[in-house]
Amino acid sequence: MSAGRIRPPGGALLLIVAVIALAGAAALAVIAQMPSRPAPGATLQPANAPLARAEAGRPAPATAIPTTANPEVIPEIGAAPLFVAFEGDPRAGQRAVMGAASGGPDAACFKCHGVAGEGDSVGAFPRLAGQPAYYLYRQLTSFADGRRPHDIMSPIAAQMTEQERRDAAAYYAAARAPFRPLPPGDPKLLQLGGRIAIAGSQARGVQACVGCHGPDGLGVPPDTPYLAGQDAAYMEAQLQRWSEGRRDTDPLGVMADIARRLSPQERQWVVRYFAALPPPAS
Amino acid sequence: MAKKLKPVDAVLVGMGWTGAIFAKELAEAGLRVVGLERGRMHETIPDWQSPAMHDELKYAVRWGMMVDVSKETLTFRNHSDQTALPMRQLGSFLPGTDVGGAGVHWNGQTYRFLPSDFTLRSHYSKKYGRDFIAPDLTVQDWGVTYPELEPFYDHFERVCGVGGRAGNLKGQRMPGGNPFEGPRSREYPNPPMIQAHAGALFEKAAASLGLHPFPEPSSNMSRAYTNPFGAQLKPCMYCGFCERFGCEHFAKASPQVCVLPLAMRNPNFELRTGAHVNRVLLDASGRRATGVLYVDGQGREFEQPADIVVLCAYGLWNVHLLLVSGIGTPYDPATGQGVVGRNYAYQTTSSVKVFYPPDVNINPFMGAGALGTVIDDFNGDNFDHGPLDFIGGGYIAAHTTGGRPIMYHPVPPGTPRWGSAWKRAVADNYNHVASIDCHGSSMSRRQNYLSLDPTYKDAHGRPLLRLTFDFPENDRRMSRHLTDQAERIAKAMGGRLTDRSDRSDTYSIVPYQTTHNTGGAIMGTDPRTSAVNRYLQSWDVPNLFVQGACAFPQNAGYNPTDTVGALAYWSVKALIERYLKRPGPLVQT
Repeated sequence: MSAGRIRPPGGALLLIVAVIALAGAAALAVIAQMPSRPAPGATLQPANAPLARAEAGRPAPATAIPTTANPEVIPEIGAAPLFVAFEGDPRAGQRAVMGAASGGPDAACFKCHGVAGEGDSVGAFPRLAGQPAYYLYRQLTSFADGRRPHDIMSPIAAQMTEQERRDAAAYYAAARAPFRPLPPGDPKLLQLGGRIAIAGSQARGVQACVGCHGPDGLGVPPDTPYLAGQDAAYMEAQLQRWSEGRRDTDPLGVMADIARRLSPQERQWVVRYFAALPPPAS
Repeated sequence: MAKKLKPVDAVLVGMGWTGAIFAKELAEAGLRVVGLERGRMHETIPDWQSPAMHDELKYAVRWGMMVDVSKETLTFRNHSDQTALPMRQLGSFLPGTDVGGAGVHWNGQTYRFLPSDFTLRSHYSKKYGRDFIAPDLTVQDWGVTYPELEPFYDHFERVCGVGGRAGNLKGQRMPGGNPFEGPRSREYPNPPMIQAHAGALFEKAAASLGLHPFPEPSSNMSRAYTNPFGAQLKPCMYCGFCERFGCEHFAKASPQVCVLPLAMRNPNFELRTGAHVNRVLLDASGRRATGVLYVDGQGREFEQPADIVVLCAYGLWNVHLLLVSGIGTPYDPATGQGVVGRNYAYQTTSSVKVFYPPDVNINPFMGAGALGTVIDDFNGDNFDHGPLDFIGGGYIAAHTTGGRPIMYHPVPPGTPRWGSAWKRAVADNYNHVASIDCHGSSMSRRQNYLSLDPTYKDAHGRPLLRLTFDFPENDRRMSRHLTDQAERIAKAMGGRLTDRSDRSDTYSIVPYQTTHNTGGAIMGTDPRTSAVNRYLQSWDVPNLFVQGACAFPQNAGYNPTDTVGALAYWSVKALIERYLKRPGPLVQT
């Protein structure tokens, strides 16, 4: 999925159109095209930047990434994909992140994830800066609807409106945050983790992580998060949740299968490997 | 002087799909089995992992998984009055090499042939009259029928985890499937893949014309799947790197993922890679194979004695081995006598592209090898041939197999071939084109055949295989008709223009068409017109079995793998249940 790595024209309003294939329970084929690396800075771009908005029957501006077909021409037959437009406003998202969303100041995202989305390794709060907006949005939705139950996040996400979720996702997708590398770990364990990350494990029947999460774990927008520089404890906890069936945001069950096949030790190795790599948007 | 090795019960030549199937089944039947593969071992991990696997230049452009034609090739000519020349660069077809063979880098399109395909000559003769089939066509019945083969299709499809939607369950028509297919005893083991946008547009247009679209049967997994042997496959990620590539996700059925591990863990089976078989050895009577002669990676020659020899190489090379080993009578197109090399056929392909305006995005990169929406209304004898002047047909499909950066750049007709205008056209059209493929049948013809080349020899001193082939007039007519139908659908798909690519009248070995070479060691009921009997057992050498699409008397309008797999299970069952109890011909002449 190498297409579409084009920088938008400094738009204040990120236009993100996600195309979601919903065939029964399977929502796999997310083929949204979105800016892979938004404009620099956790701060926002000028508000007077051109507005890009996809409307039925009107082509997106030439500089925008190809988005979706005209929804009107998509037949609703067989397992045909449903097309869903996804838009978020990072400026409005900033307000939500800072505590102006429906959940109020107590639910302010920045308190755990940081103003720039840098995360907090003390509490295993994941880094969000530069994660694909559609991925972040989908996680918020999943926290809210129970596919990804979480003591802290589920109530917060449930309180947010649909638009607030989109906006907050757009905000953190556009954010940049410094990367503070961990103290160097045991090189031998890093190597063991790197082997699984890059080549997989024939013995376990596990394919390489980078096959979906991108070379060097840099993520593949719109829906596959980066792992590089992500918090190790957070990633380990997620593998645990996948393996126990407590996270169900992957309709085809690929991550649950992988997490179950890896031993707890192997999971530690692989998350430490990714945590040591420099993330995007840093 | 070849070193003579310890005899085994069975030796398999080639370790692709049919080699893996025979290895597992014969080893489990208690036979000591050796599998000889000229290539190397490779498997999901570590060999097929991305991003290394997604090297389009290495694998798609430079044929990383195909036979190296600087070492092994064949010669080609269109007609018998020409001098054949060696194929020094791959083009029209891409035979695989290494363990798994083409079963590693195939697309996964897993079709059954129609019931009438197996009784082609008698079907057309009965329905349209004896003179309906053009006199130059040497098409014939297979000697096996669809009902006989159905359980073996079913089994192979479960081994592969094929996803699809049945159109005919035990004679009952099922909505959304192929209404023309032969009866299935069961539904597909997996649901169809998620339809691509191009497929949805095709489906709508085809349905509006009264045609019967259905999802392409696919060996790219639509969900996690465990096959009857316990082999586990995982869901396809629609990365668009199937054809010419190995699958990094355990998501495309291959011998390595589905069958071979079961053979490898059986102590009765031994796999030897780097073992190039040069000849099947016969005893003095010429009626019994005593083993094979092979050269290993160090150039040492070995004789592997065996009670049973099974040729499991690619169809072309199986025929070559028969010819260089002096098994069976070589076919002579002048007299029509002889059987080995007879009835070579291929596939008659063409395509139509639909160009859309910029607001219709096809997203071709989100693909899979067997991600397609198909109609079968113009395949086989699914339509009335009475007013037409040909036999056969083909399926028409909108495939979304991938939009890889080097080789995928559709541009409208009239675009310059290079330069800034071409680049602009590529950028403007990349995401706005749907491709419709016509996958037409190929009828065998008296003048098309395989033989030994009189001029060129390989590194082992053997004459090269010589291919003599041109499209029969029948197939040219069929292809024009089929492409007309595809164009009709294309025009109903709502694009701004369509572009039709007919197959050239004269076959060219240069442009890629498809790796569906068939015939040359065909099955049948009469030793005068077939090289092997209905169980793929050599008429001349009863302890020799010959697998693969070389057994097809002519090629149907479908991809061959499902039929190759079904025939292998049909053949190995007869071998185990009947031949082992009473070695000798399974069919009396």
